[in-house]
Amino acid sequence: MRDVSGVQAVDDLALLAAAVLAFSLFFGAFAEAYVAREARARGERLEALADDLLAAVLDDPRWTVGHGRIDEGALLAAGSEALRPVATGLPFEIVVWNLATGSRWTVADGDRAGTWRTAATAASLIGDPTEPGRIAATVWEP
Amino acid sequence: MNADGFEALADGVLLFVVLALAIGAVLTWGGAPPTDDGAWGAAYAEDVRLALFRTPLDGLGYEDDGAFVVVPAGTTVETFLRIEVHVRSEEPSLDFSAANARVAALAASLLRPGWAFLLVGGEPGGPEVVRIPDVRPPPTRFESAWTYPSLDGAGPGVRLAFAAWLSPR
Repeated sequence: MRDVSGVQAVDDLALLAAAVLAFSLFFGAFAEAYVAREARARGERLEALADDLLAAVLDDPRWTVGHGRIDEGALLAAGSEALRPVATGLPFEIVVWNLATGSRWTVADGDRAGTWRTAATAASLIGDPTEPGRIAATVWEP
Repeated sequence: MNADGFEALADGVLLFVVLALAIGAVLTWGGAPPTDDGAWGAAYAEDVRLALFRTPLDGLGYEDDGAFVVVPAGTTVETFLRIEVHVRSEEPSLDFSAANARVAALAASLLRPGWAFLLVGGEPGGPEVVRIPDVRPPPTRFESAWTYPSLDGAGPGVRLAFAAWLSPR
């Protein structure tokens, strides 16, 4: 002979277990999706900033004479202060690699640590003669 | 199991199904791929083409029947390729391989690691006269091209195109 209350309790327990399992899976998936979405949004924001920084290096008339024609000396003289507003205060680094001479130099600002994104392209380093170069702009977010 | 038990079981299964669907929706929301219109790739190909074409190289030339014909020092890659297309359109047997290898090395150094390229030149709408290097590009590539007037002021002109694509090794 079975106790009716006992049977009902076992049924309720099964329902409770199913509910706990299902809600655990749901909230676990929700948390994972939220974290992934936030990480991607953060990465996209940093990518956009790196693109903006690279565009500033390639187009700012203070150190270029036309798109992608960079006066290395003028860019070095302008320094990181000139690019800080573009990076919205985040740490950044610009690397200019002269492919003809092999020399590299850097303009950097801030404590470079945390999540980062880089944008890179090719450019001409004006002088006598004009030399080919590669430019990389990296932005960090702590 | 009594009627209440079956009802509880049905409720549990229904809840599980509803939440499974919700999990699928949430994971889809969280894993949506970023949109990409390819504009950055086209801009990258354009930047590399410009940097390549603006670079002057000394000692470029071609072999004509055993004699090496040198173009003036400081000739840019752009001008040299225009000369090559112009000359080879008339005389395809001229050997530009040494100069083309230098242009290829420069283009490869300009590109970021993991990228490959193809430079083609010819008369607009005409057959391909220059192909550096001899590779077949994939359908998904970024291209930047420019059409120039003829070097001697007559004729159909020259079209130079630079294509770049991701080619991880």
